[in-house]
Amino acid sequence: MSGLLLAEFRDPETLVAAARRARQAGLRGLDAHTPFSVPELAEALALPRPRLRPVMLGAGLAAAALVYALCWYSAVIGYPLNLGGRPLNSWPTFLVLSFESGVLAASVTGFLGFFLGTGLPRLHHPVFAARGFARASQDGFFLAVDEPGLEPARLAALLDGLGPLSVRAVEP
Amino acid sequence: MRPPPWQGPALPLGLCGTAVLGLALLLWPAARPALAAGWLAALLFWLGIALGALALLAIHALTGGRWGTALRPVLAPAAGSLPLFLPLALPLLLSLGVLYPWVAEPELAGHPDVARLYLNAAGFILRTGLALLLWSALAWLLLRLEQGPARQGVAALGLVLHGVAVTLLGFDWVLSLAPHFHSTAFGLSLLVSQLLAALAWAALCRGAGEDAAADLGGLLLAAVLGALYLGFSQYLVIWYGNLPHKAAWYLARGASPWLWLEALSLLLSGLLPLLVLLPGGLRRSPAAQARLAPWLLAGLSLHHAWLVAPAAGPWSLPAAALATLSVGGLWIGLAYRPLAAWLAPAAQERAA
Repeated sequence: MSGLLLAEFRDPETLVAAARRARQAGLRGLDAHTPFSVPELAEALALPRPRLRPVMLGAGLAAAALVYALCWYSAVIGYPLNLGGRPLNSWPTFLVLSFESGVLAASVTGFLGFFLGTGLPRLHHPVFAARGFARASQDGFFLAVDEPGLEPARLAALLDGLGPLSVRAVEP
Repeated sequence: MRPPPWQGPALPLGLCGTAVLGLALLLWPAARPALAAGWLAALLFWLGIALGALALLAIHALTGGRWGTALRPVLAPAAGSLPLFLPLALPLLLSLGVLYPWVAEPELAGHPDVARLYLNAAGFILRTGLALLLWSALAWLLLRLEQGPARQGVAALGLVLHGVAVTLLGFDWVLSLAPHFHSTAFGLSLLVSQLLAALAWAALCRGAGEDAAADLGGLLLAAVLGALYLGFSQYLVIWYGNLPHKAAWYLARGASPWLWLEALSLLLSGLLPLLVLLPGGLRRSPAAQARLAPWLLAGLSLHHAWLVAPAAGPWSLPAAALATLSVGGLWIGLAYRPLAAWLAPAAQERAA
């Protein structure tokens, strides 16, 4: 037995309450699967702060600097042309390109980082074996507990009063 | 929501400021242009908050969302106070001759027909009066109607008319200070900075509370970016076009005292809010928003002074500071006491 247990809930509020209770009981290997983002879950599961934002900011700034350097090089050194008496280093026009490439690089980094962070190249996950798990992308709110030796009955007893739709072990 | 700052002394302060300005007008008749320019900058700033509130109410009538319900106690008195600007605009309408060069020299309008049909004192007064009446009627309808198809229709039609009215107001009040200068982006830029002003005002009064603070933070960030984007693209197009009559407007405002005024304004209402609102934790915190808001509003006020004051000389800056105090005092004192009290029972009836 893998020890992976799944508890399904009807709404995000109960899931958050269940996650808090499981964490306070000292269970390890907690995770949640929801159809949409539930902001309170990060705190309830004590998930580490994602490090994606600083990476996105860095990528955006680097791309903006690179594009500004590219514009500056081509206009000042590569092809210095006098266009209506404007200075070679026409920073107002360069700023637009730099800003937009910065936004583009930051968002592409965000997308790629998100997919990598959620383990995308790996196409399988043990929870997919659970029956009815597809509802996690529709209207099901799942709490996953990966604690070796934990019986479903004990988890159900812990979640007593929260009314989970089901508590079961996932067969590998 | 907590009451707007300085609500207690607002009305006496406003009356004193107005009295001092009136006295200055009597003692130094030569200072009339500076005083009128100062009053215009103050009007643009406070009317901007009220118009931004009106536009936000109309947008919320169409989109819905938690933020609009939460901000309503702040936005409703601000939008409902729009009729107040009819008397507040009187000093401006009475001093058209000293402020706008086209009053004395109609040939500045470029074409005799423009001067005859559009750019003349009677037309200016008519358009300003009509625009203020339109906004007052829109605010009254939006505050009185129940949420439903009728209110949504008023909001949709109102937003279209609002865009036209703000553009005309911007052309008349600000751009016609230099009759040769025109910029099609100016109206939209004014409109977005009004939205920003109203959002900052709501943040200052802590209108959002805990649950809508994240929405308000996001809206503030978007409005800051929008205002910067429109202001910069207007500058970029004129810089690239490099035409004398347009460049002259920026050259006058790029000279020594004015350049520093706008640099300070960009720092306070552009860079500072971007840096504060970028980290999610600060953006969602009502306390951080409330601490940021006065600086943001000060930056917007400086921007209005930068638009108007170069037409009347450096003495219009102290006049603008005093007029901002006077108009603001009158506005806060009248809008947030009697009006809020009058609007509150209506809101409670609706909620019940």
